[in-house]
Amino acid sequence: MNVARHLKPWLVPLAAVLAVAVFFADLWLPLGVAGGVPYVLLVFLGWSFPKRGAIFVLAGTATVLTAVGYLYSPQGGIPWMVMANRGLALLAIWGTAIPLALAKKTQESMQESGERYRKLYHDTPTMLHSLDAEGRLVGVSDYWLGVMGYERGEVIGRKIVEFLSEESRRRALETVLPALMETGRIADVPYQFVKKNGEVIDVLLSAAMEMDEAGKPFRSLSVVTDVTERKRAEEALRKAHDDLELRVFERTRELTGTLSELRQTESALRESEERMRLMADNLPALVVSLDKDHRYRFANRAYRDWFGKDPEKIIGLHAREVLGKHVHDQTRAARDVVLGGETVRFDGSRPDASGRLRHWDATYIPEHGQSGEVTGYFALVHDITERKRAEKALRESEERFRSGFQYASAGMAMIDRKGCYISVNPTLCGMLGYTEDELLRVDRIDIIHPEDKKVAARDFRRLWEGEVESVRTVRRFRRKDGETLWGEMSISMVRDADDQPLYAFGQIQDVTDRKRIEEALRDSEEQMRVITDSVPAFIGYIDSTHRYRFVNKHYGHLHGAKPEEIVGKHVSEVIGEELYKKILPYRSAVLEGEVVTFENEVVDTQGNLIYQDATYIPHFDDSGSVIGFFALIIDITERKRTEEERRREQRLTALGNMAGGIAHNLNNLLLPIQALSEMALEEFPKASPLREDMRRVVRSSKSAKELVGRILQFGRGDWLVRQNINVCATVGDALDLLPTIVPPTVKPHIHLDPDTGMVFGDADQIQTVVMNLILNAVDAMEGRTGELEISLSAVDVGDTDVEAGSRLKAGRYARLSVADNGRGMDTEILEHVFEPFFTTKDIGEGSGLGLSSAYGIITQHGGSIRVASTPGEGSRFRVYLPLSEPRALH
Amino acid sequence: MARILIIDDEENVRYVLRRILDTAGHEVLEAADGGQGIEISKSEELDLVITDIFMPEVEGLETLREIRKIHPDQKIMVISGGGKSGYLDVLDAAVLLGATEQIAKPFSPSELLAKVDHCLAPG
Repeated sequence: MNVARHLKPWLVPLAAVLAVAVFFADLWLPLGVAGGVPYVLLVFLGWSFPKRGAIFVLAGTATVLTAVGYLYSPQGGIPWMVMANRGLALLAIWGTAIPLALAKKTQESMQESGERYRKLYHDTPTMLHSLDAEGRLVGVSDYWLGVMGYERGEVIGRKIVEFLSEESRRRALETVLPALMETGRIADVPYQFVKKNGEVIDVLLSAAMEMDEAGKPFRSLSVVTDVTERKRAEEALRKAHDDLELRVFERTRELTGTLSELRQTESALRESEERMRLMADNLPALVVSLDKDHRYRFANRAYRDWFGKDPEKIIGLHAREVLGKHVHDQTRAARDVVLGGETVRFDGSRPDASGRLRHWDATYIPEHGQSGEVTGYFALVHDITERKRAEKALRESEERFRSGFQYASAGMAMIDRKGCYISVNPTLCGMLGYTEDELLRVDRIDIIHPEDKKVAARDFRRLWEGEVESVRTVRRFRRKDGETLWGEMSISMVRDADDQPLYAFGQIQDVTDRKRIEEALRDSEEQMRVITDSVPAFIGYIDSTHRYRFVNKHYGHLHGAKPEEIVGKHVSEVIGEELYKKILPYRSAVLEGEVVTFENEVVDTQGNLIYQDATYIPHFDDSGSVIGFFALIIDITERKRTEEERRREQRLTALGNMAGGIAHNLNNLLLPIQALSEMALEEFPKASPLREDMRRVVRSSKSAKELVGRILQFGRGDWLVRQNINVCATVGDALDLLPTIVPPTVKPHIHLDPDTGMVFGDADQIQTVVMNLILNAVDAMEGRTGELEISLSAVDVGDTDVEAGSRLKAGRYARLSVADNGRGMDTEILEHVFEPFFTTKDIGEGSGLGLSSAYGIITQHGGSIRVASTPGEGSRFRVYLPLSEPRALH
Repeated sequence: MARILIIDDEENVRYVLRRILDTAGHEVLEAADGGQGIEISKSEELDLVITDIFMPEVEGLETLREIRKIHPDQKIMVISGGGKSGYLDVLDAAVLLGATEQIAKPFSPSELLAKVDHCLAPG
């Protein structure tokens, strides 16, 4: 028990404050003996602490304070009075503390006992529960919860009857609960509890009522024992017992055969009359001796059972008198024969003393006198009623078996120890394509498929050796025509009464068709998998409960798993709860029978954003309801990127065409302005103020001409003076100007590969591009310190090289890269960066034509210019210029 | 003092050329399109033909080729509307077809006259 848990935090400071307060009051006021009273209160406070030690600590503190207080208080007076006061106070303190501590001790041990009880109750490995007077659960043991599969919170407060099976509930309400109320106790009541998962368990319940002080029941404690296993064992025992009885019955049936042995007794009788007389009485047969007038000379004791008469009483009586007219007439012919000197045997029936019809078997044996004449005869009569009945039952049973065997839809056979057929039914013959005679001649193992022979032989041996009672399996057989037959086979031993194996009994069901369908399905699924795996799309089948039933390889890759790891899972488990919710409307729509198409964005396992084009196609069953849907998802990330790029290039091309058109027309308009104003300038006298005016017109027209020239660089038509140039030397020449345009705060790093090669192009224009890119980089660093990296090398560009841009043909290119670590650009700026007059600088600071003319020049050279940038980290421009064919160098 | 034929569909351009060349003392003939220019070149003795490249109907290159057929030694200067020297392919073609000189709009009178002088120089 944790003391700290029960210690109220305010108790300690309260006790301390009280002690100090009393102490100071004691010092200031001469309280005398009354001063002890507050200390007693202090001791009482100890009760509230969880441990009785606190009482002693407080009493000790009070003792010390009392002593000190009295010594230093200003009361003065007679010393013995002071002593007496002090003594009385201490007496009061300890007189309180000791009984209080004793009481506390009792309380503590009660609490501990309660705690132990609670622990015992919860932890006992037995199902325990407590009910209140209304039959509601107020407590259950952990074991109870474990067996029933509930959490404690789910059961407390519920009625116990809710956990019983219907029958047990009725019994509880009608008999058990009233009995418990009346007697206060019940024991081993068989109940059935229903577990949370619906499983029913058999239990025995014992309960006792707890009474309150007024003798009224207020709570019951029940001990519940799970006897499901025991019941199961009993059931098994009962079954075993039934089997045993069956065996006994079979043995009995065999014994009936023993009766026939009795017939041999006839000769024994003839041999010795004495022995006959002795034995006759003990035989379970009727034995009589009659004279030739059909009067009784002897009858054994069985007579009493047959005719209800003492054997002695019939001596001398005529057979007709004893047997009655009916039986007498039945036996008349036999009597005539026996009197003729021949033994005769016959059977018949008659009702016995209790009226039951009895069958009998009679033998009449003539008795010869000394001279050989017939003097009378013996009659030996068996009751064969039981034998007849057994024979009939056996006949019927055999008939049933034979017809079952003969007409069964399964192939059946009896097989001997060597594995040869003893008997086969027509169905088996039909299945295997043999006649009955053929089958009875072959070795059974020869009709088993070669690949299954080994296992079949092993199973058969284990069966005969008693290692297994039966074998159930699917096995391949070889038909007479060589075809394979798949048989679902069960084979078991038939044993005699001594448990010795008689023969094996096998049944075979032809499952070839099923197997073929299974194989075809497997093949079909395999084909589907091969096809779907080779399609560059994510393909899946999802059932109406939103679980995957099929996914192809690519679908698995997308989610970083193998297809078999995904199949069976819920969609939300695979794609995540967030995406699952986002596309739920589409799933709902497809499950209502619509074909759904939508675009979607997902993040793959590498964290890349993937654009998808998804189509959901509903799958209808025969009744027209949707049982699932196919999901066909295509990755359109690349297409999106290409479309985006094409759109941007189309826009730039359109802008270029427009700029070119405007420039061309502007040039026509500028021609008279420039030419005529220059001519006019020459005409004006030197002192004329108009001369300065005209000079401004000339200057403006020249500026306009330059501007138009730069627009034309971006647009469709600046004249390139193209020749084979060494691109490294060309770029190197441009970099000679670097010190004049790069401030000292920017540190350039230059790596130019002299073997880059030759480009067929305009050296001046390419240098313009280099300068524009460097100026742009310097601007991006906004006067701060920074790094400028310029590199040039030859690279191979593939057909799908995203970085180089989709419009480039595959081939070898010179790549010029200009990178800065300046402010960088966001996607909005990147979108427009090559457009003419687009600038991030303030109006007047830049023309906004530098990058667009670079774009125009590089495009005209059949190259490509790309930019990658991260805001705050910098930008990198890459220029790709097609390298000349090597032969162009010579 | 030379006889110079100007072929340009833009009246404005013809005016400027005439003004510059008049001032320099040359005799100027004008044609508003290529067809007209070819006709004039058949009947007139000319020192120089200055033709625009982009014109409706018979355009500059064709004009150049036709006049070359008639007068293989005729000196011809082509003008283009491009920033520096006009369109790459067209000007390349013009040079291949035997244009003596080329000039891009706009230009100053001195530039034009320098190129005209270059064309008229013997040899």
